[in-house]
Amino acid sequence: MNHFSAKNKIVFLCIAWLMVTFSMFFYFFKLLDNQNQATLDSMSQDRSNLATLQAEDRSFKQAQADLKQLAAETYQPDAFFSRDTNFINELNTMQDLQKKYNVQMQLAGVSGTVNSAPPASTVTPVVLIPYSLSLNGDLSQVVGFIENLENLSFVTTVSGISISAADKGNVNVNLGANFYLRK
Amino acid sequence: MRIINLLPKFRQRELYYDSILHGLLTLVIFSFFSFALVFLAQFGTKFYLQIQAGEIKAEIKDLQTQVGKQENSDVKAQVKAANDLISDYQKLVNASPKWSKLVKLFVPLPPQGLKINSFSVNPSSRTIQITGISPTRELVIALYNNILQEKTDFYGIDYPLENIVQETNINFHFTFFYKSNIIQ
Repeated sequence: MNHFSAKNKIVFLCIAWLMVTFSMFFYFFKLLDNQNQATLDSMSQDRSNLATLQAEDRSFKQAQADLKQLAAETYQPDAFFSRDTNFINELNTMQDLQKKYNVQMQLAGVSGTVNSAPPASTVTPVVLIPYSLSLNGDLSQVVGFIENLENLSFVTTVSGISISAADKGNVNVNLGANFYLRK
Repeated sequence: MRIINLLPKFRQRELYYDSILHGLLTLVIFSFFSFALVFLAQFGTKFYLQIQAGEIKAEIKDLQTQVGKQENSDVKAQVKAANDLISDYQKLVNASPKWSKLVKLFVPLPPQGLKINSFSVNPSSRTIQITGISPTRELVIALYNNILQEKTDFYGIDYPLENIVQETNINFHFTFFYKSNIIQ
């Protein structure tokens, strides 16, 4: 009877071991593994979101620093394009140039309002003010005037040029150009 | 030397099963212990991951509050406005032709004694048309050769035959092209 009891114990022990092993491998370990995997997946997504937010935060701080630096600059982006009410400054600049280079200047074609002017191909609301410029003077002076005109602090694009001989060794220059004003 | 087991057969079997049972029990205890260890490790990992996930979530919440602030939107709008203005300005400046460079490149080309009456540029076809008066045919040809040699700036000069018909007092004209890079 005793040896049957030991044999039975072995059988029961084997069955119990198999049941526990089975439940551990196919339920408990799997359950916790799945839960940990889900947490890891969620953490991975959160880390990605966190990285995006950190980048946004860095960008925000950089933007604040850039704006601060920009505010200290002599030329502000707002001043890159004049408004109609301070367009007179651009005309004065050109008149100063005329005096500096001692050339005769005739500006024509500027008319209308910014609301009626055609828009420029820009992102910001900027309009084109076409004009023509006639210059008379010594060639080197006139070329100096044009060179300065091309490199002013405000933008004026000269679309075409023609030069012809005038009396007293001077030249006549006709330029087609545009001013740009903010609406 | 032969060993003789004097125990009865059933007692021998009993001892044999007992020894198996003992070994098996040790194995079962050891495996249960290892299961418990793995289970605890998994549980510990779960606990650790949950703490980490909580910290990340808290940081995200904190940053979301920070990033979503009105001040941030204002800064973004200011930066965009400044960038748009700067890029528009830069675009227009880059697109503005520098005609003074073109004139300066042409000025040294006419030989002494020859007079240029007109110098017209057609930006759409990138052509230059010049007219003038020359006292001699040789000077007209010299001008032609000078323009022809300036290959880095000008090209495709024509050769109107009427420019060389007369020997003196010639009203000449030429048309030639300029390279787009010289006015940038």
